Amino acid sequence: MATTSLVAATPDSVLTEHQQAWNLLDAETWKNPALHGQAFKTAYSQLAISLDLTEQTEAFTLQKGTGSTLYDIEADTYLRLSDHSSVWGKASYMTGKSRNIKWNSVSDYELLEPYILADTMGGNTERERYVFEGGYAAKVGSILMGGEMLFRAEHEYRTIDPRMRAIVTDLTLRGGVAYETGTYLLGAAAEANIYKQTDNVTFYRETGVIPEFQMTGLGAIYVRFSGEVNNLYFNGGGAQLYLNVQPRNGQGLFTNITIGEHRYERIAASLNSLPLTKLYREEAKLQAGWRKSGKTDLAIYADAQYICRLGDENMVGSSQSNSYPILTTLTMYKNNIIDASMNMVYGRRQHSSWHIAMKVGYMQNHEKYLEPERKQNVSRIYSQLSAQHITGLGKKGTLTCALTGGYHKNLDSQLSIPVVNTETAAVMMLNHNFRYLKADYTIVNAQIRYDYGIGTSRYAMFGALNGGATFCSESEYEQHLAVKLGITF
Amino acid sequence: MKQILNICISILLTTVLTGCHQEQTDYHTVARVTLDIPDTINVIQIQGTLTLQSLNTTLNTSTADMSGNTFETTVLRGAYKVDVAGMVKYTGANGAIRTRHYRAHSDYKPFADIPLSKTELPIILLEE
Repeated sequence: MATTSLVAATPDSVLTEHQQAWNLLDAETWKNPALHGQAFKTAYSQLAISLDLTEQTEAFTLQKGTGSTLYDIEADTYLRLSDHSSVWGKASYMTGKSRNIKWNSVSDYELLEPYILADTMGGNTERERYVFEGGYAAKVGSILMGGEMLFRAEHEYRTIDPRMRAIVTDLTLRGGVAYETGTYLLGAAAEANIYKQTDNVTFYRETGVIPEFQMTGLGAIYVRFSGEVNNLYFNGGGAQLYLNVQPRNGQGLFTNITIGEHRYERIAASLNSLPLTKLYREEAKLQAGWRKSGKTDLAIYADAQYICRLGDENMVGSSQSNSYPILTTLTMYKNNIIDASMNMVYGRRQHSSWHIAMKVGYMQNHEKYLEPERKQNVSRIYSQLSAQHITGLGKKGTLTCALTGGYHKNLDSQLSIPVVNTETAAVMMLNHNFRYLKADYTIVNAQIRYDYGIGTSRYAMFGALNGGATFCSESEYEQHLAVKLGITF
Repeated sequence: MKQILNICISILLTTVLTGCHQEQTDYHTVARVTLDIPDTINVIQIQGTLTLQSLNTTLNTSTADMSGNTFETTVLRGAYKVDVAGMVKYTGANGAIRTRHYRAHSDYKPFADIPLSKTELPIILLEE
């Protein structure tokens, strides 16, 4: 067990090891629990409460609302049980409010869209989220093994009409192995996910009832089952495979590959569990480059991600005794996303630790609904520069400062919708969202954190303040402020 | 290392190319609507317009192209509301030649079989 002081701002201090920006480079690698077991040499635990405020002057995406106020309490730990084994875990509870959500009556919009339930009125939603995560990894000879479980339960609801209520359970199990060769660590991991969401919308005022739309993509509505089919559930899940190649001594070529498929079925509970649509999400991710770590850190790598989302609609026949036959299934919605970037991270760890990260990338998002044809294409280039500095302040203090600046420039954008065959309100919604999709964005963010050791113990207190803004070329902006207080040990 | 990288990229490409969800792309069918004419009349000439409204998308497809008493048009596979309106010139039971408006309607007809989906609709002769 390491005995290093928790807050001493020396290059090998516990805090530096666990909080340095260099760790972001390994985020993909550590999804393999076998490799996460070798992530740190020291134990580190953190208990924190936080307040997170986000406010947009106008919703960039109507379905996500104009902002949120979230309170969170979180316990995080990473423990080395011995030289060969480690254990980690996390438990958190979040509660708060999201504001001015429209055209969305479900939770996890980004995961399930476009196959959601929606209405034109919307409003604020109350949110609660519980997260439990835990993992264990051990090394036997040249073989590393690990497993972890991630569980999320979420409850989102509204206390005035339209009263949406969504309850999400999301369970992920991962198992991984890695093999040490002379110079490299070769890893493989598999992940299985089970997802379920129950979702319903009710109205207490009979005179204020508005239709709930079954959305099918780019403003298209499954008219036949829209209106009063307000009781849904989403069954989903999938599998993911991770492959890793990492240099053992921290210097050399590295690769992380992720391949996965998930599917989410929308089922009308009130129509004898009639499946309406099914969304398939396929993902391939490649991260490859060269890295060197030590007193001087340097990494140059490419990141490429391809996401293919396909939506199948069931064409439903006439009901017989409330049982609906499915006439056929057609792939009506297609969405391809490509995101590729070149990255460089450079830093030094001597009396203090500092890192600079640069990223230049290209992203394109093509969406299509087959008939009547609807299209939305957006492509952009982006760049981001971030810096982090961890240094000692006094005998027992450590100061962490981070700055990030980014710019997203739209290259090309196109929206094509058959206005005659689309609800007028849906056309307005699409035009609103497209206005912000094709905009340019300037992003600035600053973070400051101060850790102070308590006596000679491993305990330390910390306070962190994070603030930022996103300026949109459409003369609107987003502000973000987060405050976090806690103890580490 | 280069060999390992090649293997990894090969696995990635193979999985992406072969593992994708099979798209259901048999989108269209030929919808054949045959008008069911009462036995009591002998049709001399018939004209009309067929309108199919998709129950899913509410999109309308229309055709006035008749062959005998049959319409054919290509539509997205699915469930439809069917409307036919037109005029028919016929010889009645008493031998008199008359020309009258007719209608045919169904709230629900499935057109899902490929390549051809067939249905029959009885016509209603409207009072003059």
